[in-house]
Amino acid sequence: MNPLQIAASEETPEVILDAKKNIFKLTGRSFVQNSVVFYDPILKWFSDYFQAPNSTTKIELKFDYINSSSQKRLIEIILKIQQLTKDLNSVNVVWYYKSDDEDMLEKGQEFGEYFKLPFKFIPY
Amino acid sequence: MLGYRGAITQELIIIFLRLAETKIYPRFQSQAFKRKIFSVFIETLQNIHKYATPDETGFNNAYFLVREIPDGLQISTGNIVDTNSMNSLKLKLDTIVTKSEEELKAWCKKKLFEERNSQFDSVGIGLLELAIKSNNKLLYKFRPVAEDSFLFTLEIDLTNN
Repeated sequence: MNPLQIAASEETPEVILDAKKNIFKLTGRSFVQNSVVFYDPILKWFSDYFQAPNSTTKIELKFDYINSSSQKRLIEIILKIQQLTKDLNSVNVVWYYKSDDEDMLEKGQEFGEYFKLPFKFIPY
Repeated sequence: MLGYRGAITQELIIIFLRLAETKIYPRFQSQAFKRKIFSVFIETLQNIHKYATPDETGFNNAYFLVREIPDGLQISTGNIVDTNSMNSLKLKLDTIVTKSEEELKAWCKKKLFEERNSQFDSVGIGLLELAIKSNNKLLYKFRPVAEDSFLFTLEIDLTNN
């Protein structure tokens, strides 16, 4: 399966989705105006990947900032992953947050409470 | 400190954020407060970009002002909205300003996770985020300027505490 790589911009995160290297991460800021256009290829990539996923999948999310519209898209993506995952314990989500950023930790915890997938919170 | 009148576009939002980084952030020590400024800039400006009524040239005609207040910043915006938007915004804001921080966070969470596909209410989360970031220090007015046309002004006090 071809990897999906998107370089970071001032309004979008860096995206690296590479099944062969077992790397799945989004890093940076997300406040793109048309979040559907940006996040749809990511949703589609994960939908394809979870037809034959690796034995374990660690999804790393490291946002400096994520606006409300991007949060909605991220929820859709994680929901899709949750629907397609046969063994919930084979997937885990790592939510990184700046050690002094309580809002980002709180946001991650809201995500963690909502989904059945295991979430881990790591300060940096 | 910063004043702009004209159309708000995504490109302009990025320029305002660059200006904030170079001209406004150095005035404050707290990283948390800088993040608050960043977030409020984005949510106010994107709300204008998405929901303001365009003028006869097809652009939203808005203003965006930032001024220093004791231990913080005041951010003011103004844009034209039609009667439907005015009614919808007024209803939401009238309710938002009566809520505590905990109630606002719970409401925001509900809208995000349970009502995120509702097109009707898509403006809501941005306003709720603004209320949370400003400790609910939102002042708003709607002044009629023409038939089916109101100047919507929003003033947000952000304090560094």
